[in-house]
Amino acid sequence: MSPQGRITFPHMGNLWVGTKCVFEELGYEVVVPPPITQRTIALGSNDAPEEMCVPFKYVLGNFIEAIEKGADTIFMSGGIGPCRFGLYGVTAELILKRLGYNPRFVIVEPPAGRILAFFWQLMKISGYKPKKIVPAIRYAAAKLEAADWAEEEFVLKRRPYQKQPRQVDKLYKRFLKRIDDADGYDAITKLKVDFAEQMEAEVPVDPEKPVLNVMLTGEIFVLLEQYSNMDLARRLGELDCACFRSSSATEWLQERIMPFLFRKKGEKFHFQVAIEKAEPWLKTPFGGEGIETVGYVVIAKERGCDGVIQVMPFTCMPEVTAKDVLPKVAREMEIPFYSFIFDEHTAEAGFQTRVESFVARMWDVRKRGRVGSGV
Amino acid sequence: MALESWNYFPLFKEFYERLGCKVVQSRPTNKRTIEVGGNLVVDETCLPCKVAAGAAASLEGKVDYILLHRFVSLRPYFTNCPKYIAFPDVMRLNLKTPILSPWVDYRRNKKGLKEALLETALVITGDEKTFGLAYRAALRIQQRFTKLLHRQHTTPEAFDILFKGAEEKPHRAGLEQVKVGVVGHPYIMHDPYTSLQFIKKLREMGVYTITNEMIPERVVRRFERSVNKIPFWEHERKLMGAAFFLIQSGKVDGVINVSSFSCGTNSVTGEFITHWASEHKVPLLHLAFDEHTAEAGIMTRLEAFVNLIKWKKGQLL
Repeated sequence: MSPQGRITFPHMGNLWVGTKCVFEELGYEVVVPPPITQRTIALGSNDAPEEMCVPFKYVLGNFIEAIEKGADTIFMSGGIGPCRFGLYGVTAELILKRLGYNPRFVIVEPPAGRILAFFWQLMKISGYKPKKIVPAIRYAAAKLEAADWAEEEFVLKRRPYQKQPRQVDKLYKRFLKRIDDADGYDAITKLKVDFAEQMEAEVPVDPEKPVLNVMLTGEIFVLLEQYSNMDLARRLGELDCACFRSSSATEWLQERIMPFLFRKKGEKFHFQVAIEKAEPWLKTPFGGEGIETVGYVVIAKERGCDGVIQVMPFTCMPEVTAKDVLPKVAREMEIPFYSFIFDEHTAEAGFQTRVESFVARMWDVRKRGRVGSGV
Repeated sequence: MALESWNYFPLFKEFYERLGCKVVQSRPTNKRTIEVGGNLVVDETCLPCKVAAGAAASLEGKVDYILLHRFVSLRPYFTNCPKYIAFPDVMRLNLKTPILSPWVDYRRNKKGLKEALLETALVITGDEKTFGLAYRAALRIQQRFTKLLHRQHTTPEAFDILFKGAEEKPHRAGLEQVKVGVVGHPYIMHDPYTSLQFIKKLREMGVYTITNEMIPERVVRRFERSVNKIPFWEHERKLMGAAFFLIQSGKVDGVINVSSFSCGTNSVTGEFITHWASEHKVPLLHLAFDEHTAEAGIMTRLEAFVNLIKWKKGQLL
């Protein structure tokens, strides 16, 4: 197998910036699936199993839309469980075949005790050019990091302070496009500096404004993918809340998918810290981001956040289990906590009401200085 | 009786009795169990978890320790469903009685069943003397249990034979006109309350019924070689292997896929079973159980399914 064919991959927040870059470096023609819309989820949930978690439906919709755009090879990451994510690839393959599409699937399984097999997979993808693959991944990770840095440092934190709405979002959109087109490490660094300067110069802020700090945690796909969480971060930003996120696409790539490439000596990964924090309640990781969600409630308290919001797709197994424990943890930590469950339906008005009422509750807690009886 | 007890109860009972404990079984599931359990865990959890939570809560005050085995992984690579893994932790926060959870986790810290049970034995007796004897006796009885299953007794029947001295009555394919394979988790299929005893009902209708536990491990292993990715859940591997065998070998006329409401794994396994069944043109029925008991509805669906098979075979005009 050599780098040929028009390759595509599923969306997850900013991840497309990195994935696109890797495959372009390896010499593939890349078809980025169209941004997620109502149609994507409609296509996906038509043919996905009914009780499957929502990310799978988005992924399937992405695949179908990308195939319509001309892709013939699909890249997907595998997994070893216990979360269903590891079986997304094979299930999607089955369903797409049933629908009459016949794409070639490239599913890369993580190196769980089978390091040789893993490297053989990478060799195959890179067209037997092993020297190319590690630099390609590192370069893509740098791009991805820049995109996530911009979002976390500026968009999520600065949004509530801006004087005119949506200015930050406009700049960020332009920046993402430039990062995607950037060529070389120097260009990325320059773009980052420019972006920071632009933010200072073009977005008038009101630093005196009282703002709540909210920790967003939960399942990574719903957390990162704007459409699937109904723009929760933006809604919160417009209601004067600065957001922190428990994980980002960069962390996911560096810590979960390629830990051996990005491990630094004597430093712990973010998710390992979170697992340690969750130790009093849960003794062992149980897949997905379940245990980290619990750990991040503790971290939110330590950072002085005003509230924690868990986002999860409907029927997500690890998050449902975490939700068993979370109210108790939040009560012990004395921090307001709310859990949003997302599925393929969108009910904007109801959602907005719930977000607003939670924000009102956080203000209430901040004024009174303590959490009431209900969590 | 809940979750892993449906697979390992003989082993647990023998083992802890040999150590000098008195084993108290939780009451069979009833309406109250599910009510109590439903209040302890979140609404979105699957039915078996609610049943298990209710069963554990019903033991409170009656015993010194509640045993909730944590089966993370029995073999390298394979693991279990997330809800299953974290269940002892969730219950620890809810119950006052101390919980003993032997931690079987081969994948992360290379602890098999033996090491996990040894740790628990040390907590109970304080020394290793009686462990070896008890463990071997427990394994023997578990083997007998497995053999009874392979001789096509259902799990509750096998329990009766082992503990109540019932007679062995192998359920062999005989004159029955309709043969049906049932695949699902033992803790859903055999729970007398939530499953509405549909296997018994099928047999009373004169249908030869074979469940996935009756398929020996070596048959399941054959399936592992024929798919491009084996599911990484231990139970689902067995379940899918059995379903694959039943559908491919043509030993049954129809397959019933049993699951419960919001069973996470079933959405994947069900998809594969549907695919194989449609490829081999085997009738398939999905039965999903939840808190509600609608006996008439289940009977109607079972009868319709059996009639469908009869009609397909030309026995019904």
